[in-house]
Amino acid sequence: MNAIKTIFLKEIKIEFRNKQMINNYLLLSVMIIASFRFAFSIIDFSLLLIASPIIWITFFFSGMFSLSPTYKRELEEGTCEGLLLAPISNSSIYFGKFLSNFLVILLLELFSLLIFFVFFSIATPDLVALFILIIIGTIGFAALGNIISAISSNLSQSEVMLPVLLVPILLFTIVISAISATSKIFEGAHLFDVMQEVRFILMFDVVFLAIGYLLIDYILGD
Amino acid sequence: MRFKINIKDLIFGVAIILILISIYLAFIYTPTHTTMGDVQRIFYFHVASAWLSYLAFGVTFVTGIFYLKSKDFKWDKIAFASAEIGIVFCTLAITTGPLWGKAVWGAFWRWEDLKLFITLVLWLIFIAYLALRANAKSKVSKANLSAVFGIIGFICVPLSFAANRIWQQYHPTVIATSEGSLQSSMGMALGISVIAFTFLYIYLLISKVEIDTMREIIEEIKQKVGG
Amino acid sequence: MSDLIYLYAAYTVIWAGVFLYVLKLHLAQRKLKQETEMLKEIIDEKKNKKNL
Repeated sequence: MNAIKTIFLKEIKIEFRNKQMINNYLLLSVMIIASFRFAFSIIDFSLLLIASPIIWITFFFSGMFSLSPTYKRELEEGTCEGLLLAPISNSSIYFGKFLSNFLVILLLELFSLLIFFVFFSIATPDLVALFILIIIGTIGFAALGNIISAISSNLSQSEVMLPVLLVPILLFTIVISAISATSKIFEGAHLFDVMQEVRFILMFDVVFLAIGYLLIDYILGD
Repeated sequence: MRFKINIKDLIFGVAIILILISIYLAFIYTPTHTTMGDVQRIFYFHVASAWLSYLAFGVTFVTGIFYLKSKDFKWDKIAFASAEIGIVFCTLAITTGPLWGKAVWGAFWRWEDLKLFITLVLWLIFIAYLALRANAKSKVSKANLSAVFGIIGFICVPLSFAANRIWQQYHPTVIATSEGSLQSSMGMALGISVIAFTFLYIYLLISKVEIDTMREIIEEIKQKVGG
Repeated sequence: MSDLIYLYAAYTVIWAGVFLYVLKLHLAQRKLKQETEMLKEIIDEKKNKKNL
């Protein structure tokens, strides 16, 4: 438990030490939302229908950029050996990094959501339900994204490979359920009405965390 | 070695004979489908290709686990060969499916149909698997990382299928009608074509693994000769 | 029956696909055989040189 905390604090410190990095992520979210706004300004559309896809696609792409340096950083700065030699199990490294990714992505998502409500005038839905959906969706996103980031950090052209590997698995498990639930919330449903989706997202959260716990040894081992 | 080649040729022969039988069954033996007409005859090889791709990806998944447990490159070779064959037959399944769909539904693709959707996802996942292998930096990391990715990808597909099926309102009607009103002769024709394709798969897998092994040996010799 | 064109198309796709893949494997095998022969020659040459 202590090891997880140490890794978590170390990661958070790195993320926030360099203010420019966080600023860039925030800027990117603004740019993505703005580009959706521009794209939809010239055609007719029903805001209610496109709101939830826009939100989740924005979350996905802005969050992905914060995932990509998680393991790459260690390789580039040569701290990887030190980390692996330290008396910490690989799964603690995984969970520590997962927690810090989760926190950073969640912050980015809340910021994106704010920008979304500024750019798109839409009636505010049940916010508690929306936040719960975002939190459980982000757990799965960070859990899987962390493993894929570890895989792609060992590949050439890792920045391209991260989305290539992440999209087919993540979009069709967590994101599709989250989009379905979120659009119901925007149409006025409450959390109890989307329990089915919530249950599936939670199931994938557990599955991804279990996969990370079981397989991280094989990724970091070589 | 000689014995092995004979087995491989034998399997190829069996596959060819079974394929010829199943073509006969599909076109002449089975009756024309009452509602869909002759175009329903796509069914036999479409389903066989889809089955083959699931089998091949399943083999990649299982051999991935074996590789991680034993670190024996033999398993990695089989996993890779199987993934490639799976991609080939998955491509065949998702190109013949729309042709059938166009004739029966009047549309090439139905995005709300779960079976089509999930098969496409599986195809994307294993395309990504091949991309991962192409971008790996060393033999060991290629084998490790691709095994992990293959396992993750394959686990998620049935889960996602089960999860989405419950709230999905559109059931693939074509599957329901073709299997619901499946006559026994049609069932037999389908069974034979599935078995034929399974033999074809075994033959292709052995060939592919042999080729990859040979390529590796040649590379090794080249290095020795060059140095 | 205009539907039949889809039947032809589907069967063409399947058998062309299978055939091309088998062909690809055969060509790869043939290329490797040629390479082994080439290597054999090179090794023989080297041996001859050593003997001389």
